[in-house]
Amino acid sequence: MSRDDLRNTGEDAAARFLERRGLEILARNWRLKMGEIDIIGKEGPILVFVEVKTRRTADFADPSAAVDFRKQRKLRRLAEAYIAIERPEFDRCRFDVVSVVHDGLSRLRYIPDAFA
Amino acid sequence: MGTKVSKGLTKVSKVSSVSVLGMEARPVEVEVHIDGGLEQFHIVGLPSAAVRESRQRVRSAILSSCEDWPKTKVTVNLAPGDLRKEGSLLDLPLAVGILAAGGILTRERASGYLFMGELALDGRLRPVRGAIAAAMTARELGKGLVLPRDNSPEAQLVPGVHVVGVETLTEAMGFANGELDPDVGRPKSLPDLLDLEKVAYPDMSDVRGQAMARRALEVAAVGGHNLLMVGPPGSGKTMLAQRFPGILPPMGAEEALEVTRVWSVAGLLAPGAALLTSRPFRAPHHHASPASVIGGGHPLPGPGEISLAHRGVLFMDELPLFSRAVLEALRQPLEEGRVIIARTGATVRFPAEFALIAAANPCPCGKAGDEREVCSCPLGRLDQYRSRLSGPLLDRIDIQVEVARLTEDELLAVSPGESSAEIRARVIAGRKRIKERREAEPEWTEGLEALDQPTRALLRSAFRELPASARAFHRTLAVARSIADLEGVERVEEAHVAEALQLRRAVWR
Repeated sequence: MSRDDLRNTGEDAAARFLERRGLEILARNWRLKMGEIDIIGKEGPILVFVEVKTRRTADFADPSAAVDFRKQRKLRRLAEAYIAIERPEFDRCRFDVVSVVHDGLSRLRYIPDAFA
Repeated sequence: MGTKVSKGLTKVSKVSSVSVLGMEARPVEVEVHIDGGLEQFHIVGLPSAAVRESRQRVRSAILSSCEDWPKTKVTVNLAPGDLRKEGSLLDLPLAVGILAAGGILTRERASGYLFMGELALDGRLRPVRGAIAAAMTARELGKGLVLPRDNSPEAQLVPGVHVVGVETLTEAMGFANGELDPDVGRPKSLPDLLDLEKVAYPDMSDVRGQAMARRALEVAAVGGHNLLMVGPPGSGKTMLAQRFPGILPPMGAEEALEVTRVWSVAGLLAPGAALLTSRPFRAPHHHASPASVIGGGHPLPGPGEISLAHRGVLFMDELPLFSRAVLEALRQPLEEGRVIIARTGATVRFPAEFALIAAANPCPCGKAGDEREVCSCPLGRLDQYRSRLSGPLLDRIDIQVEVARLTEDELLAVSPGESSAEIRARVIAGRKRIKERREAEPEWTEGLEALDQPTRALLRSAFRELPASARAFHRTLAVARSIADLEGVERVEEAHVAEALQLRRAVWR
């Protein structure tokens, strides 16, 4: 399984999980030059930006550890851009992280409101 | 739709600890809050660099102890927020707090104890400074104390505190959960500990000749006087000074505890050591900085040599070569028996009741005191050298004697000098008399009216000739009193004053 396949597998699993939890998905892999947001959804009046991190193993660290300060800053900027371009009517948002360990089976850890 | 975001279980815990400031251990509460979100670890509440570094140690120690590190946000608050938290001793309470907030520990038992200790990465505990002070704080709060096993002997010196020495974080957790009661061992009583083996000081019988200096040491030992020996190199000043603690009476329980507490705060007790039973002998080099001699350091001041010499001897060889800052800073402790150190972080006080034994060469070339040699120092340099010791400092040194080079007859003498044990017996007897008199009449001073006519005449003529301060006058009387006590005489007589004047000759000016 290639890196892209792994990533897509993780993101698909995360999207299914979030939809079951009641998230209405608005966009996936929303992309600008500076980067992309994996999943964008809405939960009532709140716009939800989701970063999915997938690894084959959690032996070294939880996949979510890769969402460091720089990644968070980038996501914040992308989110601002998304709201300005696509959904200016929203004034509340939230950042979630889904960490996926995929070794044949996908195991998910959902971290709502992971950072602000 | 409408699903509420689950914040995860928010969990809080509180563990009691201390922060050592000067001689005191101030109570500190370690509050841990485990929250949702990405893995983070923050410490707030005025932590110093060492406390901030404990994040890494605590994390590794918990993982090495086969416990889970929370994969979410951990916030630690150290209260009170305006007190600077110093040192690594907060590692253990931090780890216990995190495990308690994570539900791994039941907190009931932990709340009755203070926790202190530095963690190694593998979860073992390393000894810390200030265990005695912490035990005293625990007693005031009515709590027990959990600390590294290497520190438990000293903490057990404080009666009435349940001291639990643990070797690892796992052991500390076992105790807090009530699953394990480490064998705390019976604390030894103070008198038992005092009987333990003592440092053997070199003996006075090694010293040949030097009758005057020997006498000066004995009088200084009885009355607690400071002493300056002036003499050429090789005349035996250092040798005499090293033998001084051996003629002092042994320390009592209270004194031993005081000394041990200072050394505990300085972190100089050997691991597993309990009580210091021998009087300390400290000999700082003349290049020592003011902070190391007087006390100081960053960010929170620690005790200096003068406090490590508390209840013992501070030997300052080559006294004039110490920096002016050191010499002048000695005046307050010499007068008050304690030192106050003010820094931006805190103002602390340390005890500093020591006997000052100082030594000096008579001149930079060292030949001035020798009859068979001629001093080769240029006059200007000699003046400069002499002026390094200020009047106010010399004023506080009650006994000042010359230590001459030995003659060949003295060197070849085979009969050994008197032993330290014999001298110490006289010193103890003299001190007992002083103590009895103080107990009978707490306000007692050697008034001039108690002196007979010839004695007063002697004093008058002596102080007419050499200009001296009122302090010098009273200190001379005090030395005369010590001589009388050494001889077991009730009243100060002419001979005592005469000898006191001999022992305070202007050997320096």
